Amino acid sequence: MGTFVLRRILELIPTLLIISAIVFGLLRLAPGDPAAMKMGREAALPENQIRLEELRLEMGLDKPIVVQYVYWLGDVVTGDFGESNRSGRSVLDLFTSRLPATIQLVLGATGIALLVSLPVGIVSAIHRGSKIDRLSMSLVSAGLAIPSFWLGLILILIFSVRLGWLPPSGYAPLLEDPAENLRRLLLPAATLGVYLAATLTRFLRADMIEVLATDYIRTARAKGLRERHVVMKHALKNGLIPVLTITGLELGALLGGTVIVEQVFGWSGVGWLTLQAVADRDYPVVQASVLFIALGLVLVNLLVDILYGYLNPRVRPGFGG
Amino acid sequence: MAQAVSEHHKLTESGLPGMRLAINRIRDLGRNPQITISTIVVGVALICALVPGWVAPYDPNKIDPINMLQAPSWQHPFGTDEYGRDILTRVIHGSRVELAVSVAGVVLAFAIGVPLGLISGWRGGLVDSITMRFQDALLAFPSILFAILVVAALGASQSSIILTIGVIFIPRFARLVRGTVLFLKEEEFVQASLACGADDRRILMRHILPNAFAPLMVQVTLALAVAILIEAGLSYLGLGVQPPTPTWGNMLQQAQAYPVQAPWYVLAPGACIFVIVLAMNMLGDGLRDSLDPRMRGL
Repeated sequence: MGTFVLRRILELIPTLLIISAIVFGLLRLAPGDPAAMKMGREAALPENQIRLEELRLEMGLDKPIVVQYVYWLGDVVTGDFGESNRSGRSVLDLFTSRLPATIQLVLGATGIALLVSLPVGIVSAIHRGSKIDRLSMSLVSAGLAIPSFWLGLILILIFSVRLGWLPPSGYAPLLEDPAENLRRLLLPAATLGVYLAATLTRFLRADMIEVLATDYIRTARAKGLRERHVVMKHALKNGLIPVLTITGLELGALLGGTVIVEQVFGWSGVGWLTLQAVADRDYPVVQASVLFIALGLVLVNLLVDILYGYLNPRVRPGFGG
Repeated sequence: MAQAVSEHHKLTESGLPGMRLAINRIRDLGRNPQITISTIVVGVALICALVPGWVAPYDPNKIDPINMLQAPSWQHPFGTDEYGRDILTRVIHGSRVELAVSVAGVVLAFAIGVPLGLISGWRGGLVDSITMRFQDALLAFPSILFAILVVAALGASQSSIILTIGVIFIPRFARLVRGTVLFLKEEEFVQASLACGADDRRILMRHILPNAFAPLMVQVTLALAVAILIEAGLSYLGLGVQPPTPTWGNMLQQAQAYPVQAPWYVLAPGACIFVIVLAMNMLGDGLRDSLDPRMRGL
């Protein structure tokens, strides 16, 4: 198990290097002089030209792009992501102050998706071909096709504008006002969770149908176990492994989705920060948040791989398969 | 029976079993209602995109201050927007950018991804390792985030979105084709034609690529669905084609400002995205079921 984990971690290094190079390189293509952007309006004044030139040297902008990348990578590895061009605040601070809101949104969406997909997937698999199954499969197709920003706007129209039950937008910190925070979380988390719920239901159903047709389930039934026991104890255990993998794999879509959902609901998380930074041409912030999200995604996938290897020893190398 | 055997013989002899089977199956496609319905939807959208002026009742940019934010009526079935422009007309014209950008992006991905997959599967070695690592890195970005990064760098324009969609889907096509190549490389019909002295190019184009035809067609339709969502998402975020050119995404962004005065404003543009993506997904699933029975139910 140890060598398996180590090998997976080593495999990540080239991937991470390419990711960082893409993030760095792409934003260097952006128009504008990074030093002038850092100085802001004052950079245009004639008396500041010498200071601007000094700043350029200081930032290493006279060096070849590859050298600049190596410098930047060195800073990033030691945790120095620079300062925001707009507020002058440390990018790391900005990012970590917004992170809890996004994590909460992603967890909320995952929770809602699991709550919906587990019962629906299991019931559809048991009653395959029934009216319930066909209805839930239609809902799954709809869930996979509906754009989150449209769904979010419609939920706002129904639950905030028409019924007035929930606030249309805004974020309240969890620690300051937990009740308000949860009220505000409900709509965005549901909006974000729909796609995952649909994907999970689809896979869980397919997997349960396969598992329910196996010999050991027939044996369990033949032993006279109650159907409920057979499904919940015997079948579900094997049916759940893909749920774990799919949740891990879909985390990318979920994180990408936060950018849009946070915009719809004015949820001040990382996605909103990134969008704002794009609008402000605050490239250090864009660079850091995209890098962090890609990094987080790679690490979660690593974790899922390891967990999968733990749950299913057959995929581990040196295990006969 | 004898006929079936000779048919089978002919297919293997021609070296194009995938292609022939696929063509035979296309004839069966019409019997699948899923495919029929979604083809009609896609067809209607295509007509709207090609000749919006013939289909739409009004001029998409004609401002009419007296009729601002009108509720749906016989004159304006989906109501009017904040400048009094007809929403139905703008939705029809919006299909143009939507489809042009997504189709161009997917075509770009296909044109680069397929040869890349062929070469990296056939040659293996260093070429393969490098392209695979690049693809791993690209797959690590959530697509919408990667799109935002590209738009931040190149500016919000039609061409940068096409480029983004292209880059996002290159790895998916390349992986698919590479997998087929690796799978077929050792097959007898490939080995046989190698022994006959066929060059790499001929083997890849005549013997291997046709076998990837069915899964590629499925992948193209599913990729189009995602591409439409990406384009619409970007223009909703204000990073796509800018108003006054109507796109479904930027119409939704504008509609968001009038939840109380004009709740119907958000319905039409969103419903268009939903229906076309649903149709593309259905078409992809239907094609998968019909063209490749092994993948059925996955």
